[in-house]
Amino acid sequence: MSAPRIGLRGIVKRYGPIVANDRVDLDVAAGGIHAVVGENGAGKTTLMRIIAGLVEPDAGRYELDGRPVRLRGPADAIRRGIGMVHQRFQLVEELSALENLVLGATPGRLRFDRRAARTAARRLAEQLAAELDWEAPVAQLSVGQRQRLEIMRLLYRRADILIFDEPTSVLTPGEAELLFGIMRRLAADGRTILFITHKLPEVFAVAQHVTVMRRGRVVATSAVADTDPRQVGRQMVGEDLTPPDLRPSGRVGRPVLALREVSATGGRGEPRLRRVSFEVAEGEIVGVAGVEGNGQRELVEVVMGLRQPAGGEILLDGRPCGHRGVRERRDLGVAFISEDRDGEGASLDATIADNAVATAYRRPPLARAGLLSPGRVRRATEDLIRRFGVQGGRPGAPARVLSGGNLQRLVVGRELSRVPRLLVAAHPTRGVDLRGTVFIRQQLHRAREAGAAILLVSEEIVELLELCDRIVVLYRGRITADLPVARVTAERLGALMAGLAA
Amino acid sequence: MIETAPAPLSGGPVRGRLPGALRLLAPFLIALGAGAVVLWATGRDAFAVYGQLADAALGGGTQIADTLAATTPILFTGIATALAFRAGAFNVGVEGSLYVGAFAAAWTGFSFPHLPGAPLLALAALLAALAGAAWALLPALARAWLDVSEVVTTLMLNYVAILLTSYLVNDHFLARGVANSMSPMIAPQARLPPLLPGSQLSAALLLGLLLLAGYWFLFSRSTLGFELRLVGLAPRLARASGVDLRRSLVIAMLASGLVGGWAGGFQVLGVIHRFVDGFSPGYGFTGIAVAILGRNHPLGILAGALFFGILTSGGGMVQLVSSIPIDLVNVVQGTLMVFAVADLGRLGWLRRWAGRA
Amino acid sequence: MPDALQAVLAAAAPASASILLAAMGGAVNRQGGIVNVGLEAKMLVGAFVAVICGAATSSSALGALAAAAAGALVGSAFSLVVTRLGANEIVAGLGLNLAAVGLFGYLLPVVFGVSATLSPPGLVGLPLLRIPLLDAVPFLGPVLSGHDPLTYVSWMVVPLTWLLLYRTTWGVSLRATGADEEAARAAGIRTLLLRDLSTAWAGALAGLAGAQLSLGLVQLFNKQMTGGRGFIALAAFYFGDARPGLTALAALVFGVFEAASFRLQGGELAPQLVQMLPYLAVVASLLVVGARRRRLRRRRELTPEPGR
Repeated sequence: MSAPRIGLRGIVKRYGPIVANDRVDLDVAAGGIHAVVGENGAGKTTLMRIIAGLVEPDAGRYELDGRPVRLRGPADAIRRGIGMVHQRFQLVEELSALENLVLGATPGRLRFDRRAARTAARRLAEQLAAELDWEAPVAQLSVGQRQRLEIMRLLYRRADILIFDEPTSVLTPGEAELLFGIMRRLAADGRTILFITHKLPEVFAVAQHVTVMRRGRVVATSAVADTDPRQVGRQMVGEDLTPPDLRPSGRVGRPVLALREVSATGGRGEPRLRRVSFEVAEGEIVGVAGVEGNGQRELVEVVMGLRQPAGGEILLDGRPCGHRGVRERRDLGVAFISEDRDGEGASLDATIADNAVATAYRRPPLARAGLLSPGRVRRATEDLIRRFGVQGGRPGAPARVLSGGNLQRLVVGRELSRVPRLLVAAHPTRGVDLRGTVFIRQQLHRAREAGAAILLVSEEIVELLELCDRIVVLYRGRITADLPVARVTAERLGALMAGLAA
Repeated sequence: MIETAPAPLSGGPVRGRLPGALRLLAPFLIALGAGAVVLWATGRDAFAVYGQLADAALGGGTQIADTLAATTPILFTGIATALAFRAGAFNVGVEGSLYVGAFAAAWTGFSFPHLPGAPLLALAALLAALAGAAWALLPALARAWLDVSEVVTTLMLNYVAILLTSYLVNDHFLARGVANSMSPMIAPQARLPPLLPGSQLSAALLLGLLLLAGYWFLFSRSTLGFELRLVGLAPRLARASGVDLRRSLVIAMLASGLVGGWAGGFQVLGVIHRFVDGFSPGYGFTGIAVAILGRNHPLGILAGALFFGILTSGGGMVQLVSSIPIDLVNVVQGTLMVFAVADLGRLGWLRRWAGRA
Repeated sequence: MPDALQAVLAAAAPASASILLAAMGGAVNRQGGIVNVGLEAKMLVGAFVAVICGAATSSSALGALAAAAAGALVGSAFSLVVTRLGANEIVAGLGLNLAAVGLFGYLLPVVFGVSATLSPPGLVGLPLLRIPLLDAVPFLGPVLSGHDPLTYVSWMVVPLTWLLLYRTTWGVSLRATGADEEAARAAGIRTLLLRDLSTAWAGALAGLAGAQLSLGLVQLFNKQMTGGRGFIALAAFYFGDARPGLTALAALVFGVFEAASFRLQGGELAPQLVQMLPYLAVVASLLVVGARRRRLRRRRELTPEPGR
């Protein structure tokens, strides 16, 4: 048998204390579709970025056709025929599609030959059976068109290994089908396709091989024909998690948050939330399940007052508050754990103390009559550090010194230092280590038992099933299911999130 | 494609860091070095000139007083700029606020000669502050509501202010019987009391120091200051915590403009006692350098203002005594501005050298 | 009245040439993502070098070439500080301007023994070119003909800039760099190098602009001779959104303002008020663009989903 197109031997990549890839071995045969699956934080993307030359491994060997290589950046990778279609497209929105196609592809030539470029563009478009307006700025193209442009760009540079990073997360089902068609055609032409996803139906629809990753390691690689979704699902989640008992006590009180037919639109005016209605009551955790990009972000923003709803009503304790700002809502007892940890949740440049009091600095005991007491700020921070087990920094140090897990403990501690009326928690354990994850889930549970209403947005099925009283499923901006947790199984939830069954 | 923000003043990916002292001092060393190169290249002994300069600025009571007088407007513009920078507002329009503030103070001073001293001074200070703040209002609103970068608007409005005050003084308020482009003198009772007779030092310095104390208090003891600082440091965190970004931005810009107005107003009331067309040698721009070199810290601002005060007053004396044009000071200051914002830690060889040394 | 208009326009052509040259360079630089506040300094350097080299070689052409080279050199140094040391371009640009003003303020008395104005012996100005047929056209003839060669160069730079930006791979890469540096780098473009080249180009054109002032408009160097033209050039490319055509138009209009403000001296309308116009125009245009963008955004965000 000939050497695999791509061979990885013992690849290690660390980010600070986090091991993103732990002695990874992987063989990818030429001319086929090879899926890489795993939960968030399993290390798939890091591995693909290593293959695409965007990240250098700390240790291990990288072989192409059996020969070891060392890539010096993405440009070097593309010269060797390796290209990546990123989740966030690497297109320049202000430039036309045609200009994006040739961008950087012919460094030696001065003249930009529009005619030749257009001919090549037309040929590529034919090859993919995808037409688009080449003179339009990319900003005007649809998401699917942009993705096809990205693919054509790699083909224009003669890439024969194409890496797709969760390519369907931004696509409509119709567009996803179109994409699968393109992938099959590329594979049939002898190109090698690597395909990252966490949607198992997609794996079984297009791939010939599947590699499962968990916690930075490769757990299994098999031919798709030799396995089934159930087995792969088990391999993804693993059995090493013994969850503490976080069952709700079931004492649910009056509704705190109520959404009535709430709609919201995205930056280009496209609808992101469509007439969403549900309630969250005292002592209840309501989970919002859904694959990223189905309106979760907009939902959270609308509830927090960070985004104006385009229609509908939002009630807090029975009072309409769709027009109120963040501060007013926080004053009504709303707390917020943002998914945007280095940004909305915390600031790496600010000190730990600044981060710790960022939402409480106006209130006694920290401040009176607009005067802030630095001594009390320091003591409050030390108190928080102790109570929530934040390790690795003093109050005056920049938050940058904290690990991701400890930073999130700080944020959770800040938001839960008083029991809120309503807690909005978006992906609170994403990228957090196991101990931190358990700790954060316990904190959410404790807040619920103290009477808080909690809206938990998450993609992790385990987390949702473990913590929630009820689960609503958000799919393409709509609530497609609203079920008590007792009536949900992992398989059913997965299917609902993928928009498969009702 | 109009708006892309310029590189941030601080933060961002820091590739490598120099040891603290070197990081603070390197821009000064480079700038003084650039001045020295110019001096040596033209056959002067740089060490002697710098020695003379230091002596002229610090060598005696009157010299020190004059240095402090030269420091005063820079202290004000430094505080003005730092107020905006702290809150993430890139106000480079302090020079404009300074001109309209100076004109407002002068106009008050010569238009109401019958008012007694204290009310007249208070009115002049008030109008200078209002004029300065008003000059920052439009850029502030444009940034807050229309997302128009304040960098270009404030920069452009500087020249509008210089031309506008020039027009006002030349066409409407020209003093009779003097050489060109000056307003009448302000009423004697509108002058700030001198601190040391025979020097240019006036009570404006004390007001500047008071203001500096207020600046310190604002940012380390008040919730408003915490809020402004958070907006500058972490706007998204601030927003998610409930801070109104627009309000904070407008407050910071107006405060900056207000202090800029005082910078000009007190220069008129304390030193020149009238409005003079184009009187500022770039105090507002020097304030940018002061705020950056002083890292927006009160003591840093004071130290930076003193440095430029020494340079200016010493340079003036050296020009008189040994015919070395004061323009040399601008070479040093300009170089200093360039390297104040440069991240020398990116130079691997410098980092390694500093690590060994 | 036509005579007065003709006179203003004929004066505006050379008066706007330096603004036009600097603005076209600034526009290229801006497209690459650097707001060049230091054009003023490079013009001043160009003006000085043009006079020194022009006098030394008795050739105005060599003077102009040397000015362009000097401008490019200063531009490259400035660019390195911005691109390699991460300096904020606005503050660094203002610093560069100050340093340049200071340098010449120092050099003129110390080295040349003059206080502000230098006019070395042997200095030849740029010739005035009469264009044979055009010259004879009524009204337009005197407006378009009889200017120094750099004025004509400034006109030719406009289509050249367009070609550069839109018909070369270099231009496409540069625009990509300015619009989205991360994406451009991912496409394998050496973005820092491109930025440096665009700043050097802007410096070269600003140097030529300086030469046009000191060899074309007059035949001397004065330490204040740029008189804020670098900032008017900045205003022009901001007003023109860094697009060649619009930027050129703005530069020409601002040139007319300037020519007009000279004629207004002692007249009824104060020249300062006319000189303000470019700056006000930029502020106004930014406000209009911002307001339009905001209206568009609001309309999109608040459109409820069409009935279902």
